[in-house]
Amino acid sequence: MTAAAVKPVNYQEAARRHFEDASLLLCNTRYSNAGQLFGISVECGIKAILVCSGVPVDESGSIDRPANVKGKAFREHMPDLTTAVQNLAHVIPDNRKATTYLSAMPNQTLLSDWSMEHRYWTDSALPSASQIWWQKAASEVLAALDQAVANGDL
Amino acid sequence: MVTVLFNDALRLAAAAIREIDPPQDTPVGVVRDLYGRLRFAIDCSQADFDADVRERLEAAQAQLGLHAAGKDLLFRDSFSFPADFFSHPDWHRTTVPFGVDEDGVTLGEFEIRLLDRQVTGHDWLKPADLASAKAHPHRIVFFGLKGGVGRSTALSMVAWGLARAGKQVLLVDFDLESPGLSGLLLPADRIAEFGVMDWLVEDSVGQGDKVLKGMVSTSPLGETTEKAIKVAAAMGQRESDYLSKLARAYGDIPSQNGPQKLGERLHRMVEALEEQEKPDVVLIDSRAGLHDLAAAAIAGLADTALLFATGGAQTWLGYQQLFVHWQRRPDVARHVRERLALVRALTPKSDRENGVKAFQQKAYALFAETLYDSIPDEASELEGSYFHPIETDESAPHFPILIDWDERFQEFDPNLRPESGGVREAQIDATFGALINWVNERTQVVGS
Repeated sequence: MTAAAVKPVNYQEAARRHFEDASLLLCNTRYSNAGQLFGISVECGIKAILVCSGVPVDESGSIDRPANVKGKAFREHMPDLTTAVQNLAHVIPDNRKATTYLSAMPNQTLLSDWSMEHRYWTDSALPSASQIWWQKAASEVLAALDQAVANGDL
Repeated sequence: MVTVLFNDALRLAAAAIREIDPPQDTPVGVVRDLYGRLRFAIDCSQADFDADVRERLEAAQAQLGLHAAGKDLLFRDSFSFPADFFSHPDWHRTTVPFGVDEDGVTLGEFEIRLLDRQVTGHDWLKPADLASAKAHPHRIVFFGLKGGVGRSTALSMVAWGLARAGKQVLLVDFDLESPGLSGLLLPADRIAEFGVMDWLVEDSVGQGDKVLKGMVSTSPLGETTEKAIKVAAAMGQRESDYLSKLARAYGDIPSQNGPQKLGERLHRMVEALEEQEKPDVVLIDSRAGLHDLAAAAIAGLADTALLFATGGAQTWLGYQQLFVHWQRRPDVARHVRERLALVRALTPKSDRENGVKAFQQKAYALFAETLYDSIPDEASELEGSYFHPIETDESAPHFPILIDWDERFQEFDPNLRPESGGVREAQIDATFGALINWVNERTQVVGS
């Protein structure tokens, strides 16, 4: 199989990897980076659902902008990705499929105080009390991906 | 490669498991996905599973053609939460028949563990555990495979008969796609502000309780009886956007405990109505046909499910499909069968005795072949522990309760007084008396 045939981006695998590593970090009291990875796993999980619901991807497998949609569309990180999905639900090609899985993730809002920028912050500035909620949100997303695997959608 | 169709795929998968005979300590199950594709699933890590057996299963899976969900098997490694998958309540012991050979000889059957991921129809295999359910009024579901068999009329007459006998009755209309109970039982000015459909759409956003009080009205049919007949109709007064609501009524709703499916939501709604109205008996008018609404009603809610039949070949074929679906999951069949009761609707008066006997024989044959246990060959320790009533047992699920065909009830307006062209009490008893008496006895003996 040529390199061109295997797209580097696989949101489902990435979601699981980040979640598993976050869980390991958590067990080793490495809370700050665990929190960061839980947020990234949520982003990857949601994008995996969007892609299996027909949202287009580019040649690398990265989520692309749907036709006739301006701006970044779904190419966001958490928590802005949640807002994008709510605002652009109508452009998801298989809206019913997406709704089935997204309805299994009601706690994405728990990442409202998560940010990609946290990777640059000092430990003391991070919202450490929220990490348990980020873990909860990430668990929900990974459970939904399990449902999608069982259903044959991933 | 040979084309494998849906009808063949599960049989081939079961045959492969039988032939390969995997180790007992790591049983192999089958997952059928939303698209009808199969995968073998093994509750261990791939590294811990015999590589040779894995390769044989992969080869067997590949033989399923387009009904294979890819080339990989499912192991614990395939999931972030493998325990949730492998102990999911939708796994069922399922009997897979191998059909007949070219000489017509039955080729036997094989039991597998099957997880059926379905788009709809989940509730057919989710019978409520009535033994451990919290106390509730007796719930009777009225179901027919086809419409037009007088189901809703019969329900109205049973409601009247129960109210006459001093029971407070609540009727709930589940026939959302052909809303009609209100038309039958309520004059236009008595229809409640809201209907079942309103509860479903408001519950989607977490406020079903806001419309609950406005959902119930009183039928004038109960004005001459000892107790009232309350009605929760499908559609509310002055409804102007019914189809928009119907378009989103059946979806899964997010909740803190995971997505809530239609069956669970309807269950909550009925419980809330019971809490509010405190009825002695609840009658549910189910949607005709093998629909999710019927599944939720019959399997998930009914203490008694009255199955209406008119004796045509279509009826028997349709019920056979449903009964075989249950039969192949013996644990489910055991929970459901004793709640069922067959009702012969529109019984012709001509050649009545022969017609009734023939119907009874067909009904018994269907139940005996599907839902009743096989009778042991000889008296053994199994005696008494199997369920197989005799053909003439009037208390058995198959023994038909008869409703005569009577043209007076064809375009029936229960709100009309007899002096204005409505039917008299004696006429109701003549046509529906057997059913009314049966329900009255059932709701006294099998109380909750």
